[in-house]
Amino acid sequence: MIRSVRHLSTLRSTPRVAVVGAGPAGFYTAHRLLKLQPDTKIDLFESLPVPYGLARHGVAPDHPEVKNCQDTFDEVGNDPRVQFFGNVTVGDTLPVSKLRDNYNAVVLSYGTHTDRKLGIPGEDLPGVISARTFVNWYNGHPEHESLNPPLHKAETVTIVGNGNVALDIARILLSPLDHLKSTDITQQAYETLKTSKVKRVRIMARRGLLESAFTIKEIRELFKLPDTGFVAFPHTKWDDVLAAHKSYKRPLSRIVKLIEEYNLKAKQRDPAHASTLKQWSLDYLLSPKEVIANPDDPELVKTLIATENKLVSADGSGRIGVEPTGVTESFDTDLIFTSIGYASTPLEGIPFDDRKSVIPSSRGRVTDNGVYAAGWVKNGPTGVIATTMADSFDTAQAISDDITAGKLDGAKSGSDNLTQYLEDAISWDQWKKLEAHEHSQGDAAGKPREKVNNVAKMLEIARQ
Amino acid sequence: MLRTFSRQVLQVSRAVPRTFRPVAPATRLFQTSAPVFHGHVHKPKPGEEIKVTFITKDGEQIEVDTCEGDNLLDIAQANNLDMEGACGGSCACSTCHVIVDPEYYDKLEEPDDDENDMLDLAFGLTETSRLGCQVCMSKDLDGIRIALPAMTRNLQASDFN
Repeated sequence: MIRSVRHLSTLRSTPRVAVVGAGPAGFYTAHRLLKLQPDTKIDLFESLPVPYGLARHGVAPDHPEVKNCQDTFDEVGNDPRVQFFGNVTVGDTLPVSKLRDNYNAVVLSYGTHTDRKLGIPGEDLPGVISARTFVNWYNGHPEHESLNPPLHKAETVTIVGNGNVALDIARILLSPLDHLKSTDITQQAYETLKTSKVKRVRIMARRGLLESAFTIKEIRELFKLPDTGFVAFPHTKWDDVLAAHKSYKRPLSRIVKLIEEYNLKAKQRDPAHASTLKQWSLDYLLSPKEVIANPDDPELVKTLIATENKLVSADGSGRIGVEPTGVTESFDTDLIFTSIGYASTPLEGIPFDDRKSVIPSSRGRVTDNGVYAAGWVKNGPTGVIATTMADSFDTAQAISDDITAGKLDGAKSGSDNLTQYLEDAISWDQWKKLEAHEHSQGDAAGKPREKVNNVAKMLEIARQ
Repeated sequence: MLRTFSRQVLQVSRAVPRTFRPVAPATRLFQTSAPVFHGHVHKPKPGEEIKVTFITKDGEQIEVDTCEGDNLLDIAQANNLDMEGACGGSCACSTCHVIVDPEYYDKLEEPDDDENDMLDLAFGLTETSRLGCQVCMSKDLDGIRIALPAMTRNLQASDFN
C-alpha cells in the first residue's frame, strides 16, 4: 500500500512555489515547506538586491545574536531546490499575475513598506522622523541612505510609541559609542551618532504602563545602559500601577517588578549625580495632538502638544482603550520619532484589508487556488522573530496540506518561463559575492560587516 | 565577585555570532571562553551515557544517550527532533522552549534573567519551562524527561474565519 502511494507521488509534477519577499517570513516558510514537501522547488523574489529583510534592516546592530537566524536563511538560499532573484519587484517589474500563472503556489511575505500616521498637524515637518526610516538608515537600507538626522543639534528627543522599535531607537541614541563601534551599524550612522547632542529621551505612549508594548529584554537593556538615568515616575501614577499588578501573568509582573526596582533606584539617586547622566523616561497616557515648528531651525521642531488620556474598557472585549481627558500638556522637544507601527501596501489583484492593512487569510490561505500569505503582511507588524517563525510554519503547513490533497496540481514551469522579467535579477551567488565584500570591508573596520547602502553600488559589486 | 565575572564571560560568549570572526582585541580575549558548537554533540564514553527521553508534541517518546556538557538544543537537533534554534543557541529567542519533567526541574541550575526574559515570550509557558540551549547535561540528570511543546502558537478563533 505504502509502495503504491509513493509510486503515485512520483508521477506528480514538481510543485513550483514563488515566495515574494526574502525576509524572515519568506525564508521560514520556505525552510518548513522544504522539510514537509521535499520535492518542491522554490523561487524567492526580493525587491532589494540583498536578502534577509528586517533581520538585516530592522534588528538593532547591537543585537547580533538575533541575526543568527540568517544561518537558517543561508541554508535555504544554498539549497539546490531554491533560487534567489534579488532586485526584482513583484507588482512592478514582475506582475503578480505572471507568478499566479507560472507557479502552483504563491506566498506573499513582503512585509511592511510604509508607516502608520498620527494624523495630527505638524506631523510632516522635517523634524518628525518615522521610526522605520531612522532604523532603516542606521541599518543601511538603501532607501534611506540620505536621511542624515540632525542629531548634532538635538538635545531632547521624543519617541511616540513604546514597542521594541521605540526602545531600540532610545538605546541607539543613548548608548555609549563603544557599544556600537564593533557592530554592523553603518559607518555613516556611527559618524552621525558621534556628533549627537541627545541628552534626554522621552518615550511616550497613549495607554498605561500595563499596556506597554515593549518586551522585558529591551526595557532591561535601557535600564542597564551606563551613564544614563531613568527618570522616576511621579508618585501618583506609580501607586496606581502597583495597586493592580500582583494579579497579572508572569511576563507582565516581571516587567512591573523590574520597573519598580529601577524606579526606586532613580528616586534614591543623588541629584548632583543625576544631573551628569543622560536621561530617559516612560511617559504614559498621552496622545500627541500637534507638533509646533521651530521658527529658528526648520530641521528641528519646538514643541509637542499632547492630550492626557484616561484608560477605558468600554467595548466589552477586555481590551483597554483610552479616552481624552481634555487636559493638554506641552513638551519641549527638538526631534520627534514616530514609532506607532508599520503598515503594508496592497498588491494588484490580491485581496487587502485597508483598515488593518494586511492581506486577509485563513491560516495563511488568501485564496483557495494557491495564494498564501506569511509574516507581517498577514498578521500586522507585531511579534519577535520566533513569532514570525511559528506563523510562517503555519502557512507552510497549509501549503503542504493543499499539495498533499491535490489542490495545487498541474505542471508549472516557474521562473523558467519568466526569463524576460528576470534579466536584471541578482542571484544567490552574486549576493554572496556582495556579502564577501561587506565582510572584508568590516574586517578592516573591526566589525562583522560594513553594509553597502546604495542599490547601484550593490549591483556593481554583485556583478563584478 | 566570581559569579558576576562568570556571568559576564557567559554573556560575551553568547553574543559572539556562530560564524565567529575575530574583531577587536577585547573580543578576542573572550574567544577562549566556551564557543558555541551549534548542532555538534559529543559521543559519550561507554558507561558514561546520560539518558534523556524526549516526548514529542505527538506523544512519541524518544530515548537518547547524551554526553556530559552537551545542551538540549544541540542534542535535539543532532537527533533530528523538531526543535529550532533561531538565534543559534545564544539565549536571544524562545524557539528552543522545552518543558522539563517536574521531578528533575529543581536539579537544574536556576535560569538567569536573560533566560527568563526569553521564556516570557515562549508559547505555552509552564512552571517548568526552560530554553533547551541553556540546559546542559550532567550526571544527576540521568533519566530526565523533556517535552517538546508545539512550536506554533495556539490556534485562535480568528484562524477559522
